[in-house]
Amino acid sequence: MGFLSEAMTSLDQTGASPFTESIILATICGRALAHKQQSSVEHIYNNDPQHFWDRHDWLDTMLKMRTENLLLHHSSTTVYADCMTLFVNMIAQTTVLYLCQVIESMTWNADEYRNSIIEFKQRSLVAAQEIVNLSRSLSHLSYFKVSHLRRNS
Amino acid sequence: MQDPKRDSQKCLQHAMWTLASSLSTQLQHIQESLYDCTRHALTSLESNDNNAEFADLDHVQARVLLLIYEFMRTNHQRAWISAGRCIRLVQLMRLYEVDSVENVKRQHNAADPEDWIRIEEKRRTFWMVYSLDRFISIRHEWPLAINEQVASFSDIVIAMCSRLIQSRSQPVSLAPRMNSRAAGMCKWVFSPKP
Repeated sequence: MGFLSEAMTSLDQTGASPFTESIILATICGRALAHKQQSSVEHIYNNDPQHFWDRHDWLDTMLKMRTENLLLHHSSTTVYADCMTLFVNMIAQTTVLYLCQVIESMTWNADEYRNSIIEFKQRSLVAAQEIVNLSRSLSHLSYFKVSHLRRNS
Repeated sequence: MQDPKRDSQKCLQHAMWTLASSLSTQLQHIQESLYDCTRHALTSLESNDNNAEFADLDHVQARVLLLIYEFMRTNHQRAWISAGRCIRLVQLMRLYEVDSVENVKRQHNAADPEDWIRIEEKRRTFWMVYSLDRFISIRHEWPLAINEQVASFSDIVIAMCSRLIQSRSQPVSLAPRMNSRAAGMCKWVFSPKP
């Protein structure tokens, strides 16, 4: 594992630390933010909505990839018991909700994307439920590791 | 006999104490005064034009810890301003070029090359500020300050940390002073994986 550009597309995560995963998730968050800003501009200029969906699909695929990778290389106990892994998982699920919010902030004139929108709303309901599950597991973790998360949650 | 602490080291120590007290069960009552001391120390460090410690890794780390404290405890607007200072320091020190070809050559040819622990500290400090920029920005939909282009390519490695974690025979207390219970996210960053 070397540079960020390689790490983003690599699934060879056998030695990757949760800190590395958090950097990758932070990059995806940054791109999600840029996606929303770009979409607002494109909407004003009535650009082809396919650009929106291309970016959205890329972000969605990356989030699925990182989440599956996390579950593959950490046991289900670790995912809910290790604070950093929990944090990374929460960020991933929160970004899914953010992408749903971006879809809802746009006006869709045609029915062309109706199925994609419904499907993604369903995905974000699952993400919301996962965030609830992850939040519940916070109460079982050491105070010193998660007190700041608890206070703000 | 130990060398006297530099100003930037004192700032870092105060920042650690501030964060530690905010997360402790018994020392919550002193966090505000520690926070004020830390801010005062940092202002003093930054006001001195002749201070060689201005663009110093300890200064950046002190600012990062204070940013985390402010984001958790005080208002987000103040934290956002602090984030700006952290990011500017990182850019001033060009921490995103730690692994650039020129820097690697310079290290290789230097009579007294930089310690590998110090280099890894620089990487982790950069990635910490990079991640915080994104997490804080998406929270409030504020514009990003560190361009992804700067971090993506050949000038800074993302994951020396994973190599270090794999080689458990090496002591990985990269910055023992950071290995404080109270450092929250920072603790995990700077401590070896169990």
